[in-house]
Amino acid sequence: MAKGLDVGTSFIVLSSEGKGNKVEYKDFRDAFYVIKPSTPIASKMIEKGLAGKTFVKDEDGSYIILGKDAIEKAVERNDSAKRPMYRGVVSSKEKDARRVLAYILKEVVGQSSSENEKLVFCVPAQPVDQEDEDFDVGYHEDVVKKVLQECGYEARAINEAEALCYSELADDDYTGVALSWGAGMVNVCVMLNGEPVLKFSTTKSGDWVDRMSAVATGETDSIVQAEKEQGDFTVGQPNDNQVLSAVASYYDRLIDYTTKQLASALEGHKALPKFKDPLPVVVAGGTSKPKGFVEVFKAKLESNGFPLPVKEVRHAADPLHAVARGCLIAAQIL
Amino acid sequence: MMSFTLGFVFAIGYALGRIDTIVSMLKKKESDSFVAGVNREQKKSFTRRAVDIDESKFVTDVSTTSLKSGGASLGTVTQTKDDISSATNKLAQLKKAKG
Repeated sequence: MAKGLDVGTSFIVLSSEGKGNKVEYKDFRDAFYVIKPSTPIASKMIEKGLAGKTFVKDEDGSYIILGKDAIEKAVERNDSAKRPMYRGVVSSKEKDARRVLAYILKEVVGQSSSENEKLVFCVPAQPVDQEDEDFDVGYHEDVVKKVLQECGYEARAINEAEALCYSELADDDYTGVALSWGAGMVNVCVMLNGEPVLKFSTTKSGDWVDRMSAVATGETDSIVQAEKEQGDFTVGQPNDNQVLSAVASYYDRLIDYTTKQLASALEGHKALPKFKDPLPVVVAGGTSKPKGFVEVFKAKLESNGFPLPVKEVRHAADPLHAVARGCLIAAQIL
Repeated sequence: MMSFTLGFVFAIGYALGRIDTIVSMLKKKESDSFVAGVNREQKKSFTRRAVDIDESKFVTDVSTTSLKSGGASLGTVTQTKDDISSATNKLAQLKKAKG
């Protein structure tokens, strides 16, 4: 049995085929928060307070709270949770990142059910808006592959937006454009008859909205993230809530920025074939979830001079699981 | 005077006869030149980029044995009715056709 794995900056999603034409997803929030007790009594109190939460105890006595519990704990302490990943790859900013990511991956995927069970996971593409030599997809890919191999899988990486194409373009002869709006990046793939002809990413996405809104309102990133995910707002529309108003405004700027980058990257690109029919454009990912997102994106595509003919702009059927679904489809045939 | 004129005409004729050879020799010298006669694309192909190896980055085993679980398991499981076999078959056919 094959499996798919979306290794995202914000969520890890495992996909596998269930019985009776079902697909099973296992989601885990990709976040952690470290509490280091100062005394043995404090340690016991903290451990009591963490009953029922997802956490691990480190050898130095500190508690590493994982997943959404980490964000809740950070918000409770007016602090920000940490991420084991940053802009789509294992974070070099956090010293515990590699270990925490490895632990989460091992726990979420579990041991393979057979020897060398196939597993396809996703990696980001090289960004077009950043001349940063430290951006290292290869190292991230090797770390994830090593962890998965330790769990008994024959692991293979594909691009995140390519996986989205596999999930959403079956009815379009696997021809079109897909954009995966993750927390750290936006990944883009142009596909022709099942073959990716162009893949790239941009480095501003949901986390950038959180950061800029946090700066604008004086709140922490975690509080902005929590408000954004629970609150009711429409992209580009004013809101009574100050945080959500900032979020809605920065969303508008993010979409504007991304569509300009998209137009600039595609305009006159030598690898682009001459498409005979207008293309479907599919969007997915947690950042694409808010109300009004697709409408604003569609309008900005037109106004910012998207160079390819567009048939329609649509949301993936299941925006949070679409990449993992695409990885699962790829795992069945690769 | 007559012999001088004949000598002059002979010299002119000889020079004209050799001019093609002289011009082609000069042209050859030009194309062998290190800089001249090489267009930008050709120059690009001659230039070899230095190969850098970042020795600080290599993947060793990522040990998680020091992390002891607090009990709760990781992940929320959901199931959706979804037949992915037709999508898989269609993609497999396209990939096969492309060879």
